[in-house]
Amino acid sequence: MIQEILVLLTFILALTFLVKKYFWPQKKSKSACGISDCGCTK
Amino acid sequence: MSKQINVALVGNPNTGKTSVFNNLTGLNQKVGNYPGITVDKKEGSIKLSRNLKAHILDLPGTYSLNATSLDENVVIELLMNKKDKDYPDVVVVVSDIENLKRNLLLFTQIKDLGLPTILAINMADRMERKGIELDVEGLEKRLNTKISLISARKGTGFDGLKQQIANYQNLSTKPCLQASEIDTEYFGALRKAYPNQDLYKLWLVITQDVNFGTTKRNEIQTQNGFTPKSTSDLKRLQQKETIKRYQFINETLKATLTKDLALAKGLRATLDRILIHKVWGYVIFVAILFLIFQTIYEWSAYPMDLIDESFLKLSEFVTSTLPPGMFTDLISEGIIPGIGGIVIFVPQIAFLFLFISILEETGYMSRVVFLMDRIMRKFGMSGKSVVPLISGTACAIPAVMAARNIESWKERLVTILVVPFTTCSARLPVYLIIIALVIPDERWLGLFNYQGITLMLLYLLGFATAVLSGWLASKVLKIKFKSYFVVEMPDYKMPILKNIAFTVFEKTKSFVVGAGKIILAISIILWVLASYGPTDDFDNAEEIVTNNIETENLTQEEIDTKIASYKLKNSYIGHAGRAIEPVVTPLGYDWKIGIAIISSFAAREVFVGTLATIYSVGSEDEQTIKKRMAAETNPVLGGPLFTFASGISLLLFYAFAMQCMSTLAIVKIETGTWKWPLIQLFGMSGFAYVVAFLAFQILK
Repeated sequence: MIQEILVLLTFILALTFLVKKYFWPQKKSKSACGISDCGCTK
Repeated sequence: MSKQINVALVGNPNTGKTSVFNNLTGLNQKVGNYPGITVDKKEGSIKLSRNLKAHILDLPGTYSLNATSLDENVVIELLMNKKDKDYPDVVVVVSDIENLKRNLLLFTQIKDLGLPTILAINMADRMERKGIELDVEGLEKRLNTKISLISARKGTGFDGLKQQIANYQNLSTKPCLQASEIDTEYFGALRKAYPNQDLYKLWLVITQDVNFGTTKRNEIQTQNGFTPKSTSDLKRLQQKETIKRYQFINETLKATLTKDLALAKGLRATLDRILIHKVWGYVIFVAILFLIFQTIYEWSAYPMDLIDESFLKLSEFVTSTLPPGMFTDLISEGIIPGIGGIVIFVPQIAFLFLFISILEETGYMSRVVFLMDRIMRKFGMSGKSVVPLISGTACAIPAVMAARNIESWKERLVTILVVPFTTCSARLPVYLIIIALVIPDERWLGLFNYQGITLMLLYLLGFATAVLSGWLASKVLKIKFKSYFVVEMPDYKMPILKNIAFTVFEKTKSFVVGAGKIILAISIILWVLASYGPTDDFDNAEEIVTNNIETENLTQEEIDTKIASYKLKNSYIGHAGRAIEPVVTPLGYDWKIGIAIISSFAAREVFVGTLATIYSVGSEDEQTIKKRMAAETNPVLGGPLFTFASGISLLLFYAFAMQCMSTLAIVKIETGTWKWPLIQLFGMSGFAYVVAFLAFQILK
């Protein structure tokens, strides 16, 4: 029974990893030198 | 308490910046990605004194602060963004003693950002041999900086450089020259409109060709009644700035550097005459490729067998040590064979990167780019397309991004469309296992291994298809514009072993770790789908098999194999596989290969891991991956499944099919529409299907 639960958990973990990787990829960094709120300020 | 400062290593390509980074950090380094993009982020740390540590960031090579590519953007974004956690306390500009004039353009730009900057002049050990004399003190005064003469090759001068970094607070932040002098009226108005901002940074933001992250260059021109200049006027001003900088650099070097030209000539010219010769250049290049692929096969056979056996033993160990049950089976039949399916190729991948990095380190790769440019132009593509096509042999994703430095949109699009045809490292495991199964391990003329020849032909096929399809696409898209092509030819150098070792280690590690995570996840999912079934046929497999077949003359092992086979056929994956079987049978494949092909649409390298997992499920007889695949029989034709015909069909399918979700995603980002990635997906995969079908039908 414990082994079955471990299999299920591992399966969910693997599925979540793939879905996250391919369907919700990391967004592009927002940190940049902008105009209004930028690092260009002296 | 110990303080940590940020140090950015910046420099032109080919100045030995990475060697300097390796010398400074040793093994205290790691390679990651900049958030959201696939540009390598190399960082490391060193202890400068008891209370001072330095976090060193090796930024991508750039010729100036006028970005034309994404990796150049990375440099500019960091140097302009004070809020970035890596914003440098001090910048070390790495330059090459023989190309100081060109390197100083970037130095003067960075100096004008008001950052404490050190000039590290690399390859100083060659000064005497090249007849170069440098007045270091004079140059320091003129550039308002501190200079370190270093040699990454010999490891000299680094104590002095570290000392200068530690004393960063004493460095002058005075600019080299005032860029505003190129148009005082315009810069005066700009200063009035944005009184709180640094003028030179503002100018850089306005004149960039590409927007960085949240920066919108048009916004800056329409605020506070500021009169904007047209793009062409801005370009003219930019040219004026560059000319002004070179005038300053020329004057500075005239007073501080002398070069005896008689001593500077030698080996380079002689080697270039041969290596970029219009006939011998190509002959030598093909011969080098030939030798590389032969050697890859010769050298990696032993470590590969060792890895294969080790994973087999690990599976056996897990089975005998852990308590019996589904989770133990998942580890021994799913996870270990799946991961083993990728680790086994580490020796061959490492050897490939070893040779590529030797070619790069010696300066030969730039000659190859130059040679290939001649061919590319005949096929209607830009010379600049060569770089993405060559870097596509590692991975199509950075190669697609490398196409950003092609000015013409149409030429850039053609390059993006054809880059996935070049043989990326993800195809390598598929090629290697299929070649090992269907091409005899024999020698042509008693010298050249057929397997090595086949691998080389597949690389050439990929490149030839990319070039031919580029020609076709350029005709369809009616390309008229032609861009110029400039490539830097660095001096020939003896490769630095440390650099090669780092490159091989990093590239191999990133391949195994990057692909490994996906393969691990897919192996787990496939194992679960292969170990459970939707109907009673799966649950009652043992009973059904024993009742329905004649088992009297069979050994227990044979009966177990029949039960395992029946269960697999009625599992979730078996149902899915059999549904697609009619589509893959004409290509000479069974449903298991069909499943492996589908799963490798996520990433090609998953193919071998998938087959290793599917073939392992329920198998009591532990075997190596190669033996398992060799033992498979064709359900329709009988005989071995992996024959010469089905093997060639599979190799051609993988050579042409578009099977990489990450590449499709990056093409969508780069082109701004799903139209082009979908054309690639269906066009390339459809072509692959037709070619694989023809190959199997002709050869079977």
